[in-house]
Amino acid sequence: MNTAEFISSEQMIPTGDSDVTSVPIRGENDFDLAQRQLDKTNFSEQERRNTIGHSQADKDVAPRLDVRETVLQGFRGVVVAVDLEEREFEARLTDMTDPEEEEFATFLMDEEPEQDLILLEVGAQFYWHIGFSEGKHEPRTNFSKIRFRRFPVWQRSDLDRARRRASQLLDGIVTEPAPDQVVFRTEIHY
Amino acid sequence: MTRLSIEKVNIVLVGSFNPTIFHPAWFDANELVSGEADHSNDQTFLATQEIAQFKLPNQISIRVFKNKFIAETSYESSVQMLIDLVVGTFQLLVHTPVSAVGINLENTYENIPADTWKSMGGIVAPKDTWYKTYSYMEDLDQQKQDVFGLWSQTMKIPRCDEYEGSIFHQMSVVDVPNRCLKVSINNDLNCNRDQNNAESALSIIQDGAEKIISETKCNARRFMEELGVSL
Repeated sequence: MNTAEFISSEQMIPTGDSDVTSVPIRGENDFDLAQRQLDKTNFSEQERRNTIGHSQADKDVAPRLDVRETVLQGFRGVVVAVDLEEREFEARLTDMTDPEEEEFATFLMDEEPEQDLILLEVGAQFYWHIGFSEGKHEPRTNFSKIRFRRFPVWQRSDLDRARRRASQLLDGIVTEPAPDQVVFRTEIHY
Repeated sequence: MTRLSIEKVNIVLVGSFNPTIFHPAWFDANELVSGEADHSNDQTFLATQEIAQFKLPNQISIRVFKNKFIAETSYESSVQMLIDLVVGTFQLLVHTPVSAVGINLENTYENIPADTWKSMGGIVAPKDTWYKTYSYMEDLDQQKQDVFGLWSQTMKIPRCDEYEGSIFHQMSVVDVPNRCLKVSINNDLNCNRDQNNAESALSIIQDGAEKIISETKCNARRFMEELGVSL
């Protein structure tokens, strides 16, 4: 693998008729790269009309990233109780930088985005980040963000993978009869 | 004072993809995101047979080409959601052939002090070789000599963890007047060649992405310290 082939997010753009792959041009933003790829592709007129923002004028207003976030503290949370009357939930928190540290906290449901509340139930997992954002032309702003994790429905392949992993773990466990001849059976249910 | 102005994290999957299936509505329908992002004002929105490009909630952007899937965020608080999203996506599309994974960090530093800016090229690429190769340079006037300097550099570095692949550490000048430097660290990770699907990539991302990103951030910080840049 040479240096022009590493797995960057920048899509390499073919140069004219040559087979040589050029390195991305410095300073191009993502939009430019996609735009150049688009220009080199034979799209139908309908497809071109279906795309939004492919004029030179649009390029000039492509959003600039000038605000950066700094996370001061992050927690993983697991909901342990939901009180619908009081509209609050209790969660067990683990510090991301120190997983040994566990804390409990109560959060108000009204402070969470409505679309996340459908995920709120005992056992639901979330991330809680506390920090600030600031930009060259933006004042420092503190934030506290809670985002509930979304897990897709278990697929057959996930179950197969879990079974394989469980079987590997099981292979590593040596079971010997206890002195009183009681044999423990290990059963794994999915 | 030097400022880390952009810190982007992206996860790239190399393989064979169908960009037409990737659309904000698909992510919403599969409950991978909390509500479909409003893309009516998204100037970068593209949906064609060759490219899909759009933004999703939680400041995540997606680009899909026929050979690459790229999920990216420049918000530190969205990195875990980015990992969850990629894992969720390819748990649904597990039969997609994926040959390699890139877990990458792209930092842009601006306003590097002038004296550090001048000296840091010499730290990673000593000048002697170039002055000997282009021997006329010593005879040039100062204004012309000032043009000389490091423009970009990529180092290939072996990995020390359990993953197969390499680290590509790249630095490049972005903006000379504002003394702006981009440092990209690409963790190129090979997938299991025996599997012609996304399972191996999923294992890498699910089990390793968070740790790899955290270590990559440490490496970026150490590198800047070595160059003499304090943040």
